[in-house]
Amino acid sequence: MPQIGIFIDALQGSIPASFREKISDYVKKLPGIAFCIEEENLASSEALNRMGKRLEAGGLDGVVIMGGSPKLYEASFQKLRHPLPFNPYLFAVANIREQALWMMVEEEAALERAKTIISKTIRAVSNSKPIETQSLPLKPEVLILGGGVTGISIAQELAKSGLHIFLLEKGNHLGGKALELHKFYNRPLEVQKWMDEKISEVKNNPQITLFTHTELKRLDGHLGRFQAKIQGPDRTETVLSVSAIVVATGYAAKRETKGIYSHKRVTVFPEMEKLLSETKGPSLLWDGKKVEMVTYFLDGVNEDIKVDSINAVKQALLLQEAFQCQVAILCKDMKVAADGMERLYRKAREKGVLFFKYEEPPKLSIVNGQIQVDVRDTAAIQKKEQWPVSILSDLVVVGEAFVPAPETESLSGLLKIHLGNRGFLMEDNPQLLRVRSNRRGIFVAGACRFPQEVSESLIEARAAAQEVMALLSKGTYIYDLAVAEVDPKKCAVCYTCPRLCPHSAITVEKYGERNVYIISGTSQETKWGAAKVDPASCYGCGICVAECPAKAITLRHLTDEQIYAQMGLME
Amino acid sequence: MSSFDPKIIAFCCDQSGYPAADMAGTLKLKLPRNIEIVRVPCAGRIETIYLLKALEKGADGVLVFACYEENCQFLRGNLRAKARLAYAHRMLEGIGLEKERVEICHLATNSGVKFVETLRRKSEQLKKMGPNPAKES
Ligand SMILES: Cc1cc2nc3c(=O)[nH]c(=O)nc-3n(C[C@H](O)[C@H](O)[C@H](O)COP(=O)(O)OP(=O)(O)OC[C@H]3O[C@@H](n4cnc5c(N)ncnc54)[C@H](O)[C@@H]3O)c2cc1C
Ligand code: SF4
Ligand code: SF4
Repeated sequence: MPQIGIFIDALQGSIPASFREKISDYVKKLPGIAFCIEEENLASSEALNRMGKRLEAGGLDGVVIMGGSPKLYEASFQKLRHPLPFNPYLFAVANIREQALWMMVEEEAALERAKTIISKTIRAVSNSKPIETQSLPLKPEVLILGGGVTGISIAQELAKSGLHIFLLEKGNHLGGKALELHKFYNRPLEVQKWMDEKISEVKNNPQITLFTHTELKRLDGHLGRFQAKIQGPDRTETVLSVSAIVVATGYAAKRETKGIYSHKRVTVFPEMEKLLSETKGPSLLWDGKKVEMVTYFLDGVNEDIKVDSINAVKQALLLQEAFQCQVAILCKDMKVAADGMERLYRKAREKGVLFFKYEEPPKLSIVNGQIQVDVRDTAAIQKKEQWPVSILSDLVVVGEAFVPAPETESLSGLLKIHLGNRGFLMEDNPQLLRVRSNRRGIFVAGACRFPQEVSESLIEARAAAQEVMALLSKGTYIYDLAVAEVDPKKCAVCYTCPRLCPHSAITVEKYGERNVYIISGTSQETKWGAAKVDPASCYGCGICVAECPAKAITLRHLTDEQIYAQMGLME
Repeated sequence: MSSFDPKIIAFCCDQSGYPAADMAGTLKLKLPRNIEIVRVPCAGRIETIYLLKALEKGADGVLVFACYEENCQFLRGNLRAKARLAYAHRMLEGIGLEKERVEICHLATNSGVKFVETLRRKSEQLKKMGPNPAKES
């Protein structure tokens, strides 16, 4: 008969004494109860110390806490990080406050319900086994994919912390899209000068190994032991073994060229940036003629107009101040949700930049070699005051569609990470885990997640660097073996679980005999294939367990028996 | 039949269903009497056999409380659960049991009210349906 220790938590009186008394009378009559102790507030450090002393005496097979929600105790145990001399998986909580006392109308019913919960919990804990922790050594080596401003900044940040970085860029130079910028909207720096400094810092940093003209061909392994096969110029292949990977492969811009968009007086933002940076004189020339009127047309092609809004306002101010141009900005919605953008927008209005808000898309037509833009301004509240306006422009600047970089899809396949909305790379949890991918040890940052401007990319870069540091700084990854486990003897290699695991923690591996796993690189003869869960990469969700048609997988901390016990089916 | 108090097994995922149950308790919302709450890490852990075993071994109905679609902590656990429910429904229909006895409800951590209302509604519905004829006696 397993021996169970019981702690009844009064939760500072929220479980009344009379109720506790009845519970304790009931518990004391059950078989296999080693002791039953009451505490005023079990989540306090004094109570936990007392509990620790009590458990040190040994002789127990399980501990049941009777009190509030398990989430409460899990949080306070988490803070302590296993200081109790007892395996955390041999604890179980009977939630008699939230689920009995507070949920039943009469006390009698609450007591009955509490008794059921208690006996189920005792049964579940009697079926529990201790779960060990393991540690995985982590080398201080990281692979970064993409040498744009995001990848560069992460490399710089991580190099400062003493990690070694492999920075892989598929093009022949570093810099990415930021090389097309001339000025920041929010900082007085010249972008190119700033970028040049960053790039030369990266090139001269002994902590950073740079590969240009290089692509990732294959990725094997998991957190701590990724094996990345890369192919450089002249098709040379190298295998890098790294602990973690950051993906910062950016995005691509697609220019609309149909109809009037192909006219020589219609252009796009990067070309405008180029023109602004190259023109030194007092006036701006386009196609040999002086530019006096410039119109920006924002939501034509691009749904995501934040970057375009910022650029349009930034360029409009430059055009008015440095080249005495008149500027009009046409948009459905202006997006000024960026640091300092509100101020910049107000400044543009004060300087005389014209803003037109439209519902019907403006019409573009060619009149005497110029572009005429017809728009109905809906900014006025009264319908009859919404005048049609015609703007004869020397130059019309339109947005480009922001799309995922061309290899994003194949890259997500290689890395086994998820694509989200519109084919951009997806974070694990948009609210909580912004730069983590669905796979432990792989991070995503920068414009490969969604179109963004440089200051946002820099924030993402810092966040990603911090996450990588938090993972690698201790040199080991310590985890509980509360994970799924495949019995290779039962596995039918149907590939269901590798396909369904949301965290790509399962691969089909080679085995010598049915249950002898072969470490790759050894020359042992392989006889069987079977699925294998990488314990450091598993999140313990149990999806594979429930899905395996051969019932070959178990969740070590929540077995069938424990679920049946909770269901009340183990009478 | 008036004293029939349907037994419901309520599977609660740890991300949404279980916190919602806690929330219901904190709000002191009252539950029907005969409910077993089963805590699972993710609705994706719930096997088809659990749904069927629950009915075989005495439950009159089964509810699965999971995260909203596209909001699953484990990305698609709730969708897998939904697919398994559909499979269980086909089997129930095959043996002539009402498929309404097994249902999934999507909610969020703060849905204490929805949690209780769903259970009350299910309990009323099952009262009308009568005891599950398939359970072992
Ligand atoms: C027209 C335009 C105007 C903009 N205007 C502004 C502005 O005014 N202000 C502002 O702050 N921001 C602006 N931005 C946004 C800014 O350019 C981006 O936020 C920033 O450059 C994104 O950096 P990134 O490193 O994430 O991506 P990118 O700069 O796109 O860099 C990605 C890098 O990864 C490489 N790569 C791609 N795929 C792979 C692969 N499979 N393997 C290896 N390497 C790969 C690419 O070659 C590239 O070098 C603008 C962007 C555009 C297009
Ligand atoms: S689902 Fe089961 S049988 Fe299929 S590969 Fe995975 S472990 Fe093997
Ligand atoms: S328990 Fe979840 S995370 Fe772990 S291997 Fe199975 S499906 Fe993947």
